[in-house]
Amino acid sequence: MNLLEMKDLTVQYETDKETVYAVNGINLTIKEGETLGLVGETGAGKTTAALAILQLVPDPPGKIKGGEILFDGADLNRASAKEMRKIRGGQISMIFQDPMTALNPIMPVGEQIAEVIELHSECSKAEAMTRAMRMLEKVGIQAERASEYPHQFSGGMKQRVVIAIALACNPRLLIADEPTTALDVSIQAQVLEMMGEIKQELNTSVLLITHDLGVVAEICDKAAIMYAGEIVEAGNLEDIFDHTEHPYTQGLFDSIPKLDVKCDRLNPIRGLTPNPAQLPEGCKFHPRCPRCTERCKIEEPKAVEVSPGHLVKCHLCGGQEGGSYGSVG
Amino acid sequence: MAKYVIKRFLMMILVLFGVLFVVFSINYISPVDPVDVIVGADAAPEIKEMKRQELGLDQPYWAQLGNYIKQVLTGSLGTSWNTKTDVMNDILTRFPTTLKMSIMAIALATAVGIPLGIISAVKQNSLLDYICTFLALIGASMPSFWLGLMLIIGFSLNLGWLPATGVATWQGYILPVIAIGIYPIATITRTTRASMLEVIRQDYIRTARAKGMMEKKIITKHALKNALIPVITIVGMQLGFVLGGVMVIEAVFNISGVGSLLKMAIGAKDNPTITGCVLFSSFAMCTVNLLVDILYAFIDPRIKAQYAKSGKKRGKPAGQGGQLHA
Amino acid sequence: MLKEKLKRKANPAKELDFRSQSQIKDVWMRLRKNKLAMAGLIIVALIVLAALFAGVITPYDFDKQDLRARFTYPCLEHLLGTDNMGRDILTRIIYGARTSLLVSLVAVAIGLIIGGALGATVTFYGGKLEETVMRCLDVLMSIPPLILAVAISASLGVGKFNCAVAIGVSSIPSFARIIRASVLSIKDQEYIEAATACGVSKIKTIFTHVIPNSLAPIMVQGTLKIGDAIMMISSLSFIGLGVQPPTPEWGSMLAFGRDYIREFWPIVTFPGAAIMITLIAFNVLGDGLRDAMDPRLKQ
Repeated sequence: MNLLEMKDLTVQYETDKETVYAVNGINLTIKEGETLGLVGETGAGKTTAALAILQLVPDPPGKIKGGEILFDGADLNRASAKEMRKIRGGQISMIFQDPMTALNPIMPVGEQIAEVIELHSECSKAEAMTRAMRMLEKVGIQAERASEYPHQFSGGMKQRVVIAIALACNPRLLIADEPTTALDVSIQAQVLEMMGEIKQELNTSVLLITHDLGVVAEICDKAAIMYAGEIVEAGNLEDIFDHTEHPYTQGLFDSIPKLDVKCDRLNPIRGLTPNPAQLPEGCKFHPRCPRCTERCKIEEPKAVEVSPGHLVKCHLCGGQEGGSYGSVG
Repeated sequence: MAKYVIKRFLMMILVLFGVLFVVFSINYISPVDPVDVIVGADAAPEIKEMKRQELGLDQPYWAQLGNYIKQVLTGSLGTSWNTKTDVMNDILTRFPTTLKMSIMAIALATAVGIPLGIISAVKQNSLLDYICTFLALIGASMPSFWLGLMLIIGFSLNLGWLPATGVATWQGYILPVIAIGIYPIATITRTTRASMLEVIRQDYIRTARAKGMMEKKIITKHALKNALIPVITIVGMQLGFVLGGVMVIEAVFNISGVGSLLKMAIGAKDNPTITGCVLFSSFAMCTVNLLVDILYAFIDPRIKAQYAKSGKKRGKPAGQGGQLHA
Repeated sequence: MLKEKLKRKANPAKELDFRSQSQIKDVWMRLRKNKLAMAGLIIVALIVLAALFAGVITPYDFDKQDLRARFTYPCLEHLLGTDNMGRDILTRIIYGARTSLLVSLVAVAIGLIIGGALGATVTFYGGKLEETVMRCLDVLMSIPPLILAVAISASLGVGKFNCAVAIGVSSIPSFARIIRASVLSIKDQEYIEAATACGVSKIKTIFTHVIPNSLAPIMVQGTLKIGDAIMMISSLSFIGLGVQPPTPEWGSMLAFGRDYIREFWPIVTFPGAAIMITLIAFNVLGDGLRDAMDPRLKQ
């Protein structure tokens, strides 16, 4: 059963000067206990999509323009403020990118964890604190440190605290927005491992936002590749890694330096991500695509299911030209 | 922490001696001879000379300064040249009025300014915000003594509700305190608004939202305390303004305080009283700053941690770039 | 050779010129969009023009007494009425603007030049010198500014120039601190390190990088400080320690008008309103400049 289903979600940031098309009609599903990796470059709209799930897109200037976010069958876009508050932190919680700023600097960390427990389970202050301390131990921090302040912790430790806050109420869905980007490589592995263990234990579904394909290979069940506010390719790990279809996904793989092949130059995708306020016509990737055709410049491709569960949004994929007019869409 | 407070206290005493030195020197360089003022410019030279010797003004600068410091170390601010009374005593009898008015003005400013600033920030770009911002702008641009005069015209002369002069009754305090308080109110409102807007954008506020907290509780529990940290500094700094402002306001409302004492002393070239008054107002300001710094430590654990360490070193990574060349 | 190569690569001088020019343009564009700030600028400009051409604008002499026309309420002939000596209040306010602007400019110049130079040099060189100078400024800072100005002006004696000196000197520490803060933030920037790494001398770095980049906060502070100075001048004059009659000055007009507060309200109302309008204009302009120079701050 699908725990989360995004249908045609569209989010835009509107200012006096311009409209930023951050998320343009994306579809995603996450099943119970499943981990989905959402991969893309900076500015692809990953974080916006995640914030939209929690209805936390900063408004103004952000607005959810359309689509549905079905969580357990109920559309979060139509949920009341009160319903949303119950879901946030209780059913769905989020780990933010930068642990350095995600914690209130003048509140002891234990209290910050206990706060979310108090909000979502009816228990006394003291009990919330005990559970918070247990949570700290679960993420590998001694319970006695609950009375310390964020500045007394290292970056990795802070991220553990943030994870403890996110998991304190056994959420059914955990959104992890680049949880390891701000951390040292050695700490990254530790944090990921810990997240994996806890996830197993609680059977939480995870939406993992990252730009690191290595991380996806390690802990995800499925992956979706995002480019300029669209999902260009989605499927299980095998689909993405072994049967790569979309030129952008291919480009991402090519830009990873290989340890076993010696080369003079890296092989990046040429060009830059388009300005989301002025997206190109046709396929959003065409200006950078090595296989761009005339058709790509004018006509926007539709998503094609090239094999069961493997969706690609490209004119050139799906076996034949004109695949987009085929039976599945 | 205690170590830090003691250290700061000793620093404060050092600073006060600095102030003493500065004020003494300012008075010393005056082109006007105090003796001329005291005995009259056309008095006989012998009388002038006698007076000069009596006041010790015939001695060189360093000797005069030394004598004065010696006096201060024994706890005395000297005798007034004009009224022959003890300066410390003169100040202490008038200081309570000045202090009372200053504290009331700051209390009023805090009680009005912080809520206005919060409302303004939380309802950013609403009509309420524009009204608060506009009022703060006017308050920051209004001379306190003029507001005092306008209040007298309105509430004393036209309506007859409140006394126009003196602080014999508690009603007498109302108009002067409002007049002094208007500028701090404006400044505190503006600072609170700016600080609150800054804090509301922080990531940890988003974290609190993601926890499912009520917006109201996010403001009171997470945003407010963080936002108040810079406001405390401003409140402390306002006292400096208020202590100066009180002096002018005392003239408007004919109140007898340290300000009017200073004004009188200036007219009479009464240097001991001038120095004493300035020293006293600096003392008040330094004390408040010290209190503000201690208060900081209670609110912000990061600063408390710094205090604990501050005994060792004042960390400052400076000028390492130059060595690249050597 | 490597050094030369680095130098060529990191030679930002030309680009920097372009940038600073377009920066001023950008600031101006942003400032123009801020209606409130533009209103402030226009009022400031009007006040400056009025002060410059006071003699042309008003048919009256600021000191001409007309004892037959004492205490005239505002009318067509005397737009803001006349005072206890029958002098035209509007005329005196216009001439008062001349006094206030002149004295405040001199005061800000004194504070800015001494405080700025002191702050910039000691901060850039750092070390013991910086420590000592900043401690000395702390001492000045711990005297309430108006009281310091009062003490200085009591010692030097009254008058326009002494008033400017008193206010200027009492603003030295705050200017030094502002500039110190901005130099400190610039000093740690990577382009300063880059310049040092390329072998640019300290003096040259101060002039080509530090000063241009700290101009923005200085301009903003300068504007705001003119407002502060005008307020201080009127306060000093009000208690009789600033500008002395017959020179028209808003604060002293209030002080002398005070005696007639019971009978004749225009004499105390209008000079104070003039101070307030001028200060509002300077404050709005200063705030607008700050927002225009640092668009990040405004949201």
